Amino acid sequence: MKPAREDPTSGPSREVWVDIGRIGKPFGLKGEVVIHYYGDAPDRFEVGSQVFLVTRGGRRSLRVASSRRMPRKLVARFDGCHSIEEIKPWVNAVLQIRAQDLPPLEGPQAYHFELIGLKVYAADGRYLGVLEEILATGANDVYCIRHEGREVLIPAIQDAIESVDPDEGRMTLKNLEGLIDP
Amino acid sequence: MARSVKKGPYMDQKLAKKIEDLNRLRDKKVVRTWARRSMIVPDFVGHTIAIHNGNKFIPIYITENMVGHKLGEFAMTRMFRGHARSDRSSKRR
Repeated sequence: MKPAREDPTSGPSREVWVDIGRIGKPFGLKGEVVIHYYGDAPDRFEVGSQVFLVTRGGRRSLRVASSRRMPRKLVARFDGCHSIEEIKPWVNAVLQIRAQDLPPLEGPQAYHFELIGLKVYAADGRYLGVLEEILATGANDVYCIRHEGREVLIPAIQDAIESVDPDEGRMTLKNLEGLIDP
Repeated sequence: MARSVKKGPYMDQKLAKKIEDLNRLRDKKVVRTWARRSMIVPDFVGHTIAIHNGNKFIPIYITENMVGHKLGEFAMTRMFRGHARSDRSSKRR
């Protein structure tokens, strides 16, 4: 599995960090800030949650003191922040959490950071390439698999995918006619 | 102005025939189409249709709640490339 982001400072037991959002502009004068979250739901920013702010100076831990939702973004305040001046240097900084802090998913689901980088094989064992991108359509997700300038698009459906093994870094497809070779 | 009810929904005849053949043979395969304006009818449910978005074919699995929509609604012509290594999840339908 290709990790989301490895921490070069954390030694042999590398931690995997996942981007969960980005700090937007300050909101008001009392230390609140707009957060543009990347995930499906802004649950990671509930009051009391711990997040990590990544700036040029490194990574620092923050605890959410208050948060309220707005369409596709939220307004939050972190513990110890009481003025706009404290927030201004953080604008556009990325917020992360540790991958192991994410809740496990049920059923045939996986986080994007687990899927990206998987090696994809056809049902007959043929190597197709690496899963490089996930496209969100109005219906199913579509996995972009690329290898030597060739691109294959695979729908994220049970009819097309045999197995996904993030630990081995491998995805195997089913033999669905027209899926790989038109 | 809405399409006349008398005419019924617009459906690409070549695509409809391909799906009809698959249904008759109880076969499953990915059907490629450029007919973005074709409406999704109940016969399409359960099939995977690769819809052209002007650049490439986007494979879309047709479900019941897509009936009545046009194929083109599910193959965006402009792609927003989000944050690849985010906490977003992907579910296999």
